[in-house]
Amino acid sequence: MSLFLFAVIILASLAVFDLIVGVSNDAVNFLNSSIGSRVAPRHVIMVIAGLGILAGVTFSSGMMEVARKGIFHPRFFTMPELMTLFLAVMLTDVLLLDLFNTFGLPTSTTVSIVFELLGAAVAVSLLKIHVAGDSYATVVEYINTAKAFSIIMGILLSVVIAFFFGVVCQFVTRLVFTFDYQKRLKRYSGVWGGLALSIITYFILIKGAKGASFLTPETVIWVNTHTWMILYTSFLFFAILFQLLALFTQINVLKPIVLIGTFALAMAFAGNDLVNFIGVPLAGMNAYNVASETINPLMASMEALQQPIQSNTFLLLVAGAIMVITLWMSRKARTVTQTEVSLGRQDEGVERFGSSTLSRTLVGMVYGAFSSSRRLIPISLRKTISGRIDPGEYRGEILADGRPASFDLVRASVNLIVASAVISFATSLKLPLSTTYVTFMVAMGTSLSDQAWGRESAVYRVTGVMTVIGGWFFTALAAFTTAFVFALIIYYLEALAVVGLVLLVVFLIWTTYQYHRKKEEERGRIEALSLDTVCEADTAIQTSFEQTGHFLRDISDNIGLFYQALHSEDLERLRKTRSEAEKIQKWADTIVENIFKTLSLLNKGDMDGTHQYSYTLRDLQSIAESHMNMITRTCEHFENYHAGFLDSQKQELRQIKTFLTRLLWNTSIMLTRRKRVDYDYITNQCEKLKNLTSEFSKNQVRRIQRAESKIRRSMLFFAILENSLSISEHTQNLLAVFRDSFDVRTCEQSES
Amino acid sequence: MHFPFRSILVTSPFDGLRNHVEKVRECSWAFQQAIECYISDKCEEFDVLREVVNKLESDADSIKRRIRGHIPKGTRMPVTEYQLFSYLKEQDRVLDAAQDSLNWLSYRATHIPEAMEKEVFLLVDAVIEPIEELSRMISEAKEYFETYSEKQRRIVKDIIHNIKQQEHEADAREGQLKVKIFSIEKDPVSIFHLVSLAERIGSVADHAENAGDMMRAMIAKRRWTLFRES
Repeated sequence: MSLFLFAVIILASLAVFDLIVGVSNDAVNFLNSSIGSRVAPRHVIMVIAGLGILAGVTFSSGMMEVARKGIFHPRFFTMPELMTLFLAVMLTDVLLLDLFNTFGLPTSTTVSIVFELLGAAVAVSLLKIHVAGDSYATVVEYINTAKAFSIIMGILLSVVIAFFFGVVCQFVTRLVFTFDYQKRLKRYSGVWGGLALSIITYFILIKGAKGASFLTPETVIWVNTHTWMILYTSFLFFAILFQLLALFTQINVLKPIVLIGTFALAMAFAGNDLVNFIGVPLAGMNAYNVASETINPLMASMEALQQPIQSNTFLLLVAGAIMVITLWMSRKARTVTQTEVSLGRQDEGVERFGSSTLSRTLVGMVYGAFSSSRRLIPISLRKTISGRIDPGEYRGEILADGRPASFDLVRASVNLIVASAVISFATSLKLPLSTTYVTFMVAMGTSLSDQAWGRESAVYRVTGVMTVIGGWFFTALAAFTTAFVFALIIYYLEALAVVGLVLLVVFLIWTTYQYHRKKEEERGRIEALSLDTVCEADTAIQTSFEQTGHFLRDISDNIGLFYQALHSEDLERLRKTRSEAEKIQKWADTIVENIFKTLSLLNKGDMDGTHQYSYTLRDLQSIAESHMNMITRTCEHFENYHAGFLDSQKQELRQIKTFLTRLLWNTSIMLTRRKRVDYDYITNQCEKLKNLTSEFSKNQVRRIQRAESKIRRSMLFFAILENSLSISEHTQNLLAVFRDSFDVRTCEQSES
Repeated sequence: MHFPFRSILVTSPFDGLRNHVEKVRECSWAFQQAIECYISDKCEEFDVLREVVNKLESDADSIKRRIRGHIPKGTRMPVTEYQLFSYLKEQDRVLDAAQDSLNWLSYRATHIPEAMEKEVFLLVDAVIEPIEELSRMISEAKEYFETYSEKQRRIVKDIIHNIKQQEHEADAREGQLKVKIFSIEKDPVSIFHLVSLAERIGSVADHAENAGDMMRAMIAKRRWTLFRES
């Protein structure tokens, strides 16, 4: 039995990890609206969400049925079999959720745990059937197939319903409020506040507090049978309260609505989803306790697990504390939240996701359908609607730190109201809906309705949404398969397998942690480049000098590596330089965006200066493109197994590299340190490079005439020379613009 | 194979070395600028550029002192302190040699004939190349000491080999310049001044090569033996 005690301890440790990874993934459900609209400072939002979690945990009676008997029938299993099953489930859950967190993709922890239980239960059942020599078809007797099916249906239902209601409700709300909502807030505060808080209150009663210890079964029945009365009364109460607040105070009534909604969703999350993280370990502990009390603990049936068991309040509170700490500390939780917020962001900018054929096709179809259906709407009506929902002038409220919110408070409140209403309604109808799926799809629906997915961003946003939805199906598949395999391994190798799998999980978590940290650093670097908070042209120019300097330095380093890899024909390194070049390309996009911003800040009267500064756009893009082109072509060359360069060519390329990297580095130093530009030295280096390029081109022609160099090799050689020359020329141009700018600045300073 | 928790147990001194070598590299360019400026009659900024080199040398010295004074206790380093300091000393000598050359040049206003200019430029180019390779060698060596992969070791060895080759080229350029000096220059003091200058410039590459040799020792494979060979 000591071996199983060890298993219980491992389950308990895994519960802690699972809470951490689970909260990191689910936090987005209740944080998205408040973080996206920046309703309050981050710490205030965290405090409110934390209180919601603690309230949810405290009031929860902690019924953990799903883990014990929701998916399989425990009477068919013995304690060792259940331990195998539970260990497989927990190891898979930690691994899977951590993987999703690393990539910042929200998924359903309920779907994950259910399919893990299903996978592990099927594996153990099949093994039992195999040993007993029964027909494999009897596996359905062991499994609660109806539950699994209803959850799959839940995925589809929540996606469609939530998205539809998100679109419709946001459209109607925006028609009423328009993007300039402040003007209309006084008029509609009462109605809107009443509607919002009556739905949220009902949601708290139905979902957040349905298992609360302070609500007797009679009260729950009363709530269920007096739905409309609760809704009417709370509507009247809150409508009057909010109208008075709007008339006699300066309070923006949307703020309390968003914050109360956040609290409600956090409370519902803690009350309902806690089972996903600690349900299995608690069930394992129950199984161990039940078995210990029997004469033959290893063979006793686990039928006792069918009975309801009250969870320990202390354990629930500890779990709540871990969740709150995670909410504050977890960087991965921020990444997941960031994904959802950025997909619903109102303004344009650098997109997180790329473009795909599927998303392009979808956007094309929808665009075509809208263009055709426009003709069916009378022009006057179309004009009225367009006038009210036009986000054209909307710039978003600039907050204290100089950055705008991702979307406004109207959308945030609609997100919360619709999500609460859909979840409450589905729960009252006993339809299984995933909170994650609902909140995500509502958020996407409202952003679509608000035209946040304009022609400049729709394709990328749709790719993002498709990735997240794809991830949901992957969750079910991966959860089932991995838990199935883990259960098989544990069943056969027992303690050895448990130790091995725990080590594997620790290793993978460490690896994903490192990966995430690197990605965060990269993202931080890109974010640090943003000039969103800069309002003065001078500061913007200075900052863009500095950024360009770092950019050139990175290119120089990458070109150094590239030439080395080229010399040694090291394909792996070439690919590494290609992925670095892709990052640099993104960086170039950000700097270009900043230059646009700087251009908008520059004095409109000074057309010459502005015009000259705009040349930097062309130069930066050309440098990044030449750099990318040179590396991509070389990678393709070696990926197609073409021959490498001759020794004489390598020697020449080495010289080109020396001058090019030197040139880039020197320019970088001058820009980053704002050193007075020694333009002559750089020009000298450029000139040398130009002469070398021309000399080496002639050499190459001679080699072709002597039939020493193959066609593809020659083409690549010329391409590298040409791109290197282009980089050097554009760097020189860039420097000329900056030199003039520095000269002007120096003159101004000396005059002052 | 990359050991996941290695960074907790082992401290890498290579970040410091990288900072130092960046200063050396930067200094080499200022050195090149200064020489170009000296040769060009129009340039009047030789002293300014010499000051820049002095400043960079002093910055590099601070980094060197910081590396020496902050060897962490309690964690293991991938190389011995002796190896690290020897390498650092040699890398620093590269800078000293560049500084010394400029100082030597400043002691006497020797005119460099136009026919000799090209050889001087080529020599300076030749000695800067190994310095630029040093910088890359440090980055690659850092990665080697993190992964201990044979492939990475080979990359570092290749760079060391390149440095050696470049040093040979620099020696050849130095020889050509000396030949030119003796064939063109008639004034014995000028000859002494210029030949010594060529040697001092050439020594920049020699120190870069020595640093490469030190690195070669650092990345050498260790074999466990029971008895030390006599």
